[in-house]
Amino acid sequence: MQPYFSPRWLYKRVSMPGVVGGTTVQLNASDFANTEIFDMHLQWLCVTGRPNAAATTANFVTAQGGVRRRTQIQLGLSQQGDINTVPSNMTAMMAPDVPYKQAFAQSQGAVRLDLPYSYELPPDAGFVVTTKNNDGSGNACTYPTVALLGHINDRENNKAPRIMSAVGPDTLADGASHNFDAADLWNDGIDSIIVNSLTLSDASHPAGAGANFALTGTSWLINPSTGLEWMPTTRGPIPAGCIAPFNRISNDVLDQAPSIFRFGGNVILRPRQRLSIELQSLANAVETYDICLFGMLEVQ
Amino acid sequence: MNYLPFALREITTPTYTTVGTTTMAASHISSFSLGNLGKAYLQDLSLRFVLAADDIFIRLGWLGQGYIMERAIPFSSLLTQGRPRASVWPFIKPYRLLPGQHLRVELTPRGSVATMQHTVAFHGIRELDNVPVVLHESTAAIAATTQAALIGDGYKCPADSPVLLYSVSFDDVVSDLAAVSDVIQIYGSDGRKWFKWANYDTAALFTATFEEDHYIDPIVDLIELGETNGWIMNPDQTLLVEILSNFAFRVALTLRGSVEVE
Repeated sequence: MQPYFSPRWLYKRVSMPGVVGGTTVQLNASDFANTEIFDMHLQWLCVTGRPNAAATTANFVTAQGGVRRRTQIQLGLSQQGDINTVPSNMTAMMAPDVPYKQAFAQSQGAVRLDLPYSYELPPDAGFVVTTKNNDGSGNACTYPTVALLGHINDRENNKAPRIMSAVGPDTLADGASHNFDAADLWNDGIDSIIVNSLTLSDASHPAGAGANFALTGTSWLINPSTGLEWMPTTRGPIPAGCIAPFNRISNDVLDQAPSIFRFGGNVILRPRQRLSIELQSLANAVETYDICLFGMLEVQ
Repeated sequence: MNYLPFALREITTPTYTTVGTTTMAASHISSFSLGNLGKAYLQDLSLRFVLAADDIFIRLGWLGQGYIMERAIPFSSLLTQGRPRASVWPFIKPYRLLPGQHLRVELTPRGSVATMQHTVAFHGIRELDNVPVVLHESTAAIAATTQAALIGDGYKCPADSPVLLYSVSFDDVVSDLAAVSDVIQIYGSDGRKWFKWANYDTAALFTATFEEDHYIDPIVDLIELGETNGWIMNPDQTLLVEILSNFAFRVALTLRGSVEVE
């Protein structure tokens, strides 16, 4: 079999106590371990959160500080040692990729991720996708939509675009889930589809209200019908902001936009090796962090 | 081989129909073709609606070759790019200007713009030594709606080296919310227009908000296409954009890219 790369997201939601309740949280050894038998080429680690109700108070920056400004993080690779030897302030170590939200988009738009390596989907295979409305404030989703973008190489070896997309219900209540129709996400052609990108969207929020969706408002499980899982189903769905952290619709006013630490060069998590993460919150209140590691498994 | 930047636009007004108590979806299929020019590398597609609503659905395909999607999806689910904060159009392929050639620009400022100078600048690299080059010209101070031609030496290619142009920018003095924006037309060295108008299928045109300009500096919502995902249009192909909704709406679609020319 020809070696290929398969995306892998490892996700964990952590409840961080504030300084009153204790400061340091060390994540479980199994949270970000490579449990496959293939090398995992690490791409980035994403941390995001969501606005806290108390953030609307006048001094929210000092009281809450989002998830980044008042948090320290320390990373390490088992059997190899620390990545940063002393805890680093997250603002300095994991700056957000998108510093502003566009003021006058006509529609909220979607978050998009371009895969570092293309993924080949053979004929008669497809994707199985589930979404969940995680708003938590009672807002419904409208038409949650997933699209996998790619191309085929046709008979003359020219590229031709392909889009596999599925639309959810016009109303998906807060807390509800939806399984997309797999027929819409199926490669029923005769050529393999080379998947390069994916987009996720929730059409319910017009311009100006998209921050929640782009962070943790909806969660997703996206897996091919054959081969290795992209997102292990045992861990539950992953927030959109953790799947595609590089997006234009995150509102960073409250420091909650997805923060990304890129692993420079070719950092490999070997089978059974793990990434260790230790967090120290300096905020006053309890906060919820969504942490996601993204890598590409080298399947051979 | 050279790559001519192009922008094709269609403005249309699909309407819905009520049959008894049933409202039929308004539907319209737009088509974009470059005729007998060469292979076109499609960069992005922008849609601007008079009414911003999210239950407008879109489906893409090729004339005679069917759709490339199983079903229509909300158009917002493909909107992943906005325009840059500056008014700049980075080309998907560089445009090569040869010594002895020059560009020309027609410009008409619009909106509540003070009488002032306006500039259109092309950003490139000299092939000879990889030195950055900016070809720029400015108008005299002109009032809004005054048309000006930029034909000076500033748009000439340096005599000793071809220049690869990677973007064009202009001084956009209007805000995101402005009703109108400058009208710009660029002519290549052979007089060929970079931009085109196309396909008005209705007499009920938009207000100036929607009918003018936004080629260099398009509406904030962009659907990324791009060569990576196979968005290459052969001369015999026509891109179809189907739009569906359950109410009447008007839409301006703009397709941008670069097309192979000799």
